[in-house]
Parts: sequence; structure tokens; C-alpha cells
Amino acid sequence: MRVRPTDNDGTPAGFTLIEMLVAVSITSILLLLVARVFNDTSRAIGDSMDVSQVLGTTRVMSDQLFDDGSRIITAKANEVTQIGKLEQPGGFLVIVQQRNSGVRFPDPADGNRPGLSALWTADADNDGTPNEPLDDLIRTDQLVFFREGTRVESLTPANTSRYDSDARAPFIRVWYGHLGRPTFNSGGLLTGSIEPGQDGNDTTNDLVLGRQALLILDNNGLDPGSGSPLATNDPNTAAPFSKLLDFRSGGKNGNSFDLVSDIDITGRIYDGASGSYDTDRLWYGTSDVMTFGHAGIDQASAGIGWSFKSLFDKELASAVPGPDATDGQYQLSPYTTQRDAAYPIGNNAIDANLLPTDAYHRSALTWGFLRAGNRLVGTADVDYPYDTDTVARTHGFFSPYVSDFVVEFAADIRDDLGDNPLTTDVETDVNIDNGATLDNLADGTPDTVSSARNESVETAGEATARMVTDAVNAGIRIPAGSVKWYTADHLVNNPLIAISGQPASYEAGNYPAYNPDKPITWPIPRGAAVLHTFGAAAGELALNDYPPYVGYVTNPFTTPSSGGRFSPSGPTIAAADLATNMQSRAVFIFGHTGDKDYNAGSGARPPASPPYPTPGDGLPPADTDGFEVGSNKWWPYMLRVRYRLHDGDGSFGSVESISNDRIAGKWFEQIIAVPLK
Amino acid sequence: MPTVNLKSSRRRRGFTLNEVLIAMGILAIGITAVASLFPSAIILQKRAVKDAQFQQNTRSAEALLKAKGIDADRLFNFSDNVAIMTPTFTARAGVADIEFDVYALGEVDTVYSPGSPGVNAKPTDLTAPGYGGDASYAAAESLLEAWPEVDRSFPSIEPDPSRREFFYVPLFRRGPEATPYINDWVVYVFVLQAQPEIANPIVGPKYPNDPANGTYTNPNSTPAGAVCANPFDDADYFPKVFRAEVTNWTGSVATLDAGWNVGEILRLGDEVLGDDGEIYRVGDVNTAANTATLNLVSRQTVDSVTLGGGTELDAVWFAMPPNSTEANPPSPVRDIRVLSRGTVKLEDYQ
Repeated sequence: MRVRPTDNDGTPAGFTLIEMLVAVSITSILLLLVARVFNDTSRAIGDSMDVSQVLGTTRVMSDQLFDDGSRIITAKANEVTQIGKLEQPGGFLVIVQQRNSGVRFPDPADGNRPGLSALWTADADNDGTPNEPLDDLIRTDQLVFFREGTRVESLTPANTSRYDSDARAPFIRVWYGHLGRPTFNSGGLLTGSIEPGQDGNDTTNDLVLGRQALLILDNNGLDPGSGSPLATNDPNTAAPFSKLLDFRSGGKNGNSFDLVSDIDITGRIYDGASGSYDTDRLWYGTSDVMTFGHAGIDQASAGIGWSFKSLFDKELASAVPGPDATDGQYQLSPYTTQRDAAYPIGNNAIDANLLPTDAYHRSALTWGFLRAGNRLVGTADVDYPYDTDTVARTHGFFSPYVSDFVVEFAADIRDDLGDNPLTTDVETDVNIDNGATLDNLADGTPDTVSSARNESVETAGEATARMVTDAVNAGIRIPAGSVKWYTADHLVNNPLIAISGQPASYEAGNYPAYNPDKPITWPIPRGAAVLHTFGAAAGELALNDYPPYVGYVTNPFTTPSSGGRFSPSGPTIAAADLATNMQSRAVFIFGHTGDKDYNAGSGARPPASPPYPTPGDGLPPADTDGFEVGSNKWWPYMLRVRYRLHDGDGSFGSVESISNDRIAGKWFEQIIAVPLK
Repeated sequence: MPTVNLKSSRRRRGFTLNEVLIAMGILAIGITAVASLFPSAIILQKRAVKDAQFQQNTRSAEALLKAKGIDADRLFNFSDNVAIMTPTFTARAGVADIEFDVYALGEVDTVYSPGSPGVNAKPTDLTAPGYGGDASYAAAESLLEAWPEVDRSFPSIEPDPSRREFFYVPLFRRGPEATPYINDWVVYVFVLQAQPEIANPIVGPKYPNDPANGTYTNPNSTPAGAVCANPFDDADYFPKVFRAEVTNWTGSVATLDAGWNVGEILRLGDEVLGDDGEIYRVGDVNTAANTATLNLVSRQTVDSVTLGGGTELDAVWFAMPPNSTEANPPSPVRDIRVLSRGTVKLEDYQ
């Protein structure tokens, strides 16, 4: 070692300049390294937390969806339904497809990571086109089903277990959908206090998915106010969410069993101005098909809410003869007077035949009552005893940070267009044009894309044939055998649009442009008879027709009177209105009658006036006409639920499968087999 | 290090440059070691996301299976046709792997194709029922049609299967309750996962937006004599599952004979399915001798279905990695699991 110079007094000299420079340089390098590691570590931890959050959310959602979906109608083996049947209790399934805009995202400022809005609009793939505008219309679909059973669905989010009710609950309803949030600075909310991202308001955004499981007791059930376990075991006070959010009824504290509260969620809101907390409503279930009439949204006697109300309204139901003990399946009624009434679905009344069983009838009464209890309709028209019915309210708040929630379905839709008969079953190539008056046979499996060859040999003008052919010609691959996932026609994404570069030619209407970044979905074939429940008139729901109850309902927020976007034979909307109607709401209603098929198969329809058919009256039952017994034939086979998840601060992104773009959030999908029996 | 005498020096000695350098070097090593943990954590977390997707996809596959009725009528037809097969059918197209009692949706056949003999030729008309009366072929194709590849790959929103990530290749094996009067089938599924990390030799995108990697291609040529579980493949995108006969089974060492060098395909840790119904994990692989050590994988999902049919190991099914320019591409096998089980009683269909 070199001997260090010393001062005159013998002490070692200080560092030389060179030494200092070297040391400082090395230190700087190391500091930079440490800083880099620290930065990377912080980022990694942040990313990891984002991923963890999304991961947890998707597991909860997937589990719950799958569990709920597997029991849409199916009673467990040891369950006895209210009507005393073990087999095929039937049910309703409602799919609402819609888009919404003006969604408020969590988008806090976070140092070195982009928030949701930046990520959402970023041109991650550098192709010169931003991925999506922040105010892009996101899908806020809903999934609702009723079924019979004595077991109560889980009352706790993410808890897939269920328990026996000591009451015979005839109907259990499960609803999925986005929760709405009160308009900013209205409704008594604190100014500026609920903007997403503000301190204390991390969850106050619009990306909240709700789920309800409702046990609807009819008047045979126990009164929860007199000893029912439902009264003593308030699911809300026993739930962890109660510590976070103060569930309460809208303006009525403490009543756990009031329907109005079932999707009203109140929370502690941070008032940025005063620095204090206040309590007010955070979300409400405006997307609920039953709450369209929610105060401040649309309380007029028009729209789906009203329509559903009329569907299940006691006053209407009261026009129906009481349950026939000998034939609960045939509850036909004179509906002339109802049809003449100004009810909004296609300006036609709801056919009382929509209530396939007497049990459903009772459900309708119950539901109608509940609407009344909700004060959304006048109580004068419902005189059902108030205190003997109840709803076990559950937590609407199911999952946060869900932007898109899409429900599509695969079904076996009979193409019974009178002018374009589909004479070949696309799956078997079997000629199924049997000359029957009533359309062609369904083949018993979900519709799939056949080969382009097979599709193209169908009658010229058949939409899907040209869709596939043109897609192939354009190099877009739609393999034969692909399940056709159906959606409302204004939400269709098919390649034909992109190829033509102009409004589609396969239907005389204006359709949204094909977006290559989106999965291909197929339109429900439009035509007067394609959906069997459509009658002759435009837009009607099951008028003068019989099950299966598949309906296509117009949007209450648009103007169905102008023809209706979804009216089978009505005029299409003008292009100028497309943007508005892009936000249209389509509702598919599937009814399952159990094992009884109304369809006579011969073309005969139940008469519109008495006498109504009953077993043995000469009208052929379904099981003699070659159709499968039971309306499950038209029940959708599968549901595909797609959803896009985000983390709390919106910084989580992923590479989208189709576009290969980096997008905000991450898409997940879950296919659910719908129980047929 | 020189000692410091506090009494003899008025000033404390500083660290020498060497000391500082050494200390900083050690610090740098430590920091690097700590930093290296985080990428590992991120990789693990990505894997956790894949696990969640894997679970969802498996549920989706089950849903598709159920919705299409494959676990009932289709399997019945399948079984009905298998029952009449003889080993000679093995040489023909179709499902027959009757020698080992494990059946695939179809098998590579180098000599047979309905209508037009050719190598791996796909029938010209898959949709016609019966296919000229060839029962075995009808059985195979009914399943192929009912459960086509596009329904066995996920995510379903991706229209182009070649760009999907998870692929399910089913194999059907008789279940423990199978008797001459009861058809009981266990559906095993090879779950294969595209690994974008793998360098893939796709030259140019096939389709718009096709990623440069992460998609599967077939081997350049299917090995001669190979028995493949999923040969019918229009676009050559689907990873393959092959069968190898076990000519010698001593201890845990299996000598494999597939007519080609299987040893090059098997990867350490790979899961393979034996015709005895067990799932094995590959240990040592001796490519020269074409042998592999197969260790029994004990898992509840498999153990819950205790299969009959003897304990002899006569054949194994395994997956082939995607064709890759890498010398030793990793295995595509994500999992082998019992996907669904269909027990169909003959008397139910009288």
C-alpha cells in the first residue's frame, strides 16, 4: 500500500482531490442505483397491489357469477318449491344490455403512474389513435333472474353458500348491475365531496357493480316482524360492510326490510371544504330494471320500469282469473282491456299469459306490491297487505372498479322468418324445412357459425351468411363452430360493417361501425317472427302469442314511439339519433314455464278469448308435435359475462387481447351454462 | 486493517479508498440481490392472474361442454360407436384407440380419409351425419363438431383461435362404473397455455393485429406414425397432444415408442396422462434411449376418480411444445385435469 503523505506534525494528510472525486463519483453512481432500485421497488409494489386488487375482485366475481348462474332456475334435489313441485320449477331470466356515458372514474394524481383517464385515452400502441375516449360509452348490462326455491342466496358478497329459510320462499331474485351514483352536487350531497379520488372518497366513483339476492316471501311466509330469523339476523348489521357503509333505507333509517333501501347505499362522505365527514347516499340502483321509476330518474308512466310494473302489477293481475287448481300452468286471461290501455311496450299491454304459473302470479302480486311499497307507483292500485310481505335486503355493493359489465347469450334461435326461411340447420346440414306452419325446428344446441360455405348457400339476403363470407374475404377469421354470442342489434360488432365501410347493407338500418378491437357479436335476427313471442305488431311483447317469453323491449330514455330501435318491423332510427340510441337499452326477457310447452306446434294458438285451452280440451300438447317438451328449448344455453376491472387508483392496465393495445384495466370473461331444467 | 490508536493520533483516520470501495461493492451486491426479488414477485403475480383466468376458462369449458350436451347424448353415441370398434379401426381415422382404452376426438391417420385418401385430410363435409356409414368416424366427428377447437380455446372474445392463450385437448377414458350396460366416461383435458415468453417462429402476422409471438404453430411436419389427439386443424394453430406406447415399464422408468423420438419432446416436470388413468410427472429424460422417468402425480382431482382398467401402463399421452426456434422450448402443458364426467346408462335410452 502506498504510504499516505503526512502533515508536518505527523498526522495523516486529508483525501486528495482525486480521491474525493473518485469517491464522490462512485457514491453518486451508487446513489443513482439505489434511487433507481427504490423507484422500481415502489413501482413494483404499487403494480403488485393493483394486480392483487384486480385478482381478488375477479375471483369474487367469477365465483359468485358461476354459482348464481348454476342455480338460475334449478332447484336442489332436496328443495321443494312453493308450488310443491320438485321438478323444473321454471323461472324468469332478464338480460338488459345498454351503454352509458358520463361515467366518473377514479383518477387520483399519483406521482409517477398515470391515472385511469390518462391510461384510458393513451395511445399505447402508438398507432395515432387513442385507445378510447374517457367518455366512451361503457357497457352497463344487467342480469336478473327469478327462480323458485326455499334456499336463500348468499346475503354476503363473495359468500357462495346459502342457507335454508324457515319460510317457504317461492321466489328468489338475483340481480347484477351497475349501481348509480347521485348526480354531483345535487340531491343534498356535499359540494365537491364525492368526486372520485378525493381523500376519504376512494370508492366514490361510478364503477360499482351491485348484486342483490332477494328472498321474496309471499303472504304465506312468516312475518319477519314477529319472530322471523330474518328480522333478528339482520344481514346488514352482521356484515363487514356495515362498518364501512351505513346501509339504510332511503330516508327511512333502520328498516332493513324495505325494498327501497336494497340498493341505496349510504356512506360517510368526506367534505373537502369543511374537512369533516357527513353521511349521505353514495349509490343507488338506478340500473335496476325495477327501479327505472326511481325518483328523479324517470317516474313517468312510460318506460321499462313502468312496463315491468305493469307486468307484475296486482291491478293487472287482478284481471286474471284466480289460479286454477287443476291447471296451474295455464293461466290465460282476457287481456283485451289491458291491451287497450296505454301501456308502453309497443303501446300494447302485457299479456297476462306472461305469467306462466299461478305461482308466478303470486310473485307478480308480490312484486307489484313491493313496487307499491317502494312508492314508485301509487299505493291506491295495490291493496296487498303490507306487513305480511317482505324482502330480505342484501348488500347492493358487490364489487368496486368494474367499468364494463357485458352480458351476452348463446341461444338456439329459430329462424322462422316467413320471407327468408332457413331451410338448413347450420349445424347438421339437415334440411329442416318440414313445411310446418310454425317455422323450423331448433336443433337443440347453441347457434354456431357454420363454415362460410354453408352459411353462404343460405338464402341470399340472410345476414349471417354474408357476414361470414365477407369476413373471410377480408381476412377476418371466424372459425366454423364458433358459438354465436347474441346481442342487441345496436351493440352488434360484426365485420361486415368494416368491410363495407358504410352503413350495413344486410339490414336497412344504420349500425355502429365495426370496431376491430372488440369481440365479434351477432345480432338477434330481426323479423316479425324470429323471436317467437313477437306478434304481428311492432314492438309488442308477447301479444297474443305464447311462450317462450322472449322479449325485446325498447328503451325508456329514447323515443320508442318513433318506431323503436328494437321493434321487429318498425322503422329504424335516423343516423342523427344514433348517438343517442347507442345508449339505448335492450331488454331480453326469457321465461321458462317448467315442463309445459304451450306451443301446439300445429300452428294453433291459444285463443284470444275464452274458452281458453286446458289439458284435454283438444288442443295438442307440446309433446306430440316434435318439439321438445318444455320451453327450455328457447331458454338461452349459455351466458357470457365479460367485465373489465380496475384497481383503486385506476393505474392498472393490461394488453388487450384483440387489439393488442395497452388498455386501462383488464378484461375477464366467464361463460355460464344456463340450467335448462 | 491498521488499528487506530486514539491516544496517539489527534485525528481519527478516515476509511481508506479501498475500504470504501469494498463496502460499496458489498452494498451494491446486496442492493442488487434485493432488487432481484421484485421482478420475481411480479412474475409470480402475473402467474396468479393466469391462475385466475385458468380457473375461469376451465369453468367456461365446462359450461360449453354442458351447454352442448356432450356429457350425455354425445358421449352415449361416442360410447356406442366405440363399443363396436375393433383394433383394426385404430389404423383408420376416428376415435379408436381401443388398444389403450383412451380415446381422442380424432387421430392422425396417414392412410384414411373418407372420400379422398390423403395425409391428414379433413373430410370434405364434416357436417353430414354418418359420413357414409362409417360409425367410428361419425362418432369422432360428432364430437368434433360438437366441441370444436374454437370452443376449446380461450378467451372466447378473441375471434382468432390462433391468438388465444388457453387450449383444451380432451381425452376420453372409460370410467370406473363402465360395464357392458353402463357407459361411463371420464373426460381428461390437457390444458395448454401459450407462452408469449417463448420465442415463436411465426414469420409475419397471419392476420391483422396478430402479435409477433405467443401463438402456436404446428411442427413443421407431424412425425410419421404419430398418434395425435387433435389432428383436424384447419389453421395449424392448435398445440398437439400425442400418444406414445410404453414398451417397457420398470419401476418408474418408461421406455416410450411413438415411432419418433419422444424424448425430445418431453420436458422435465411435464405432466403426462397414462392409459391407466393416472397422471404422471416427467422426471429424467434420456433422449438417447427414449426413456423417461415418470413419477405419479397424486392429486385429489384425479384420485377422486379412481379408474379401473388395470394398473399396467401401456401408453402415455403428452403435449408437444410449439414449433420454436428455441433449442429447448418449454412445455405448453398447463395442467391435466378431469374436466367432466358423463355416466350414461344404456337403459336410459331405450
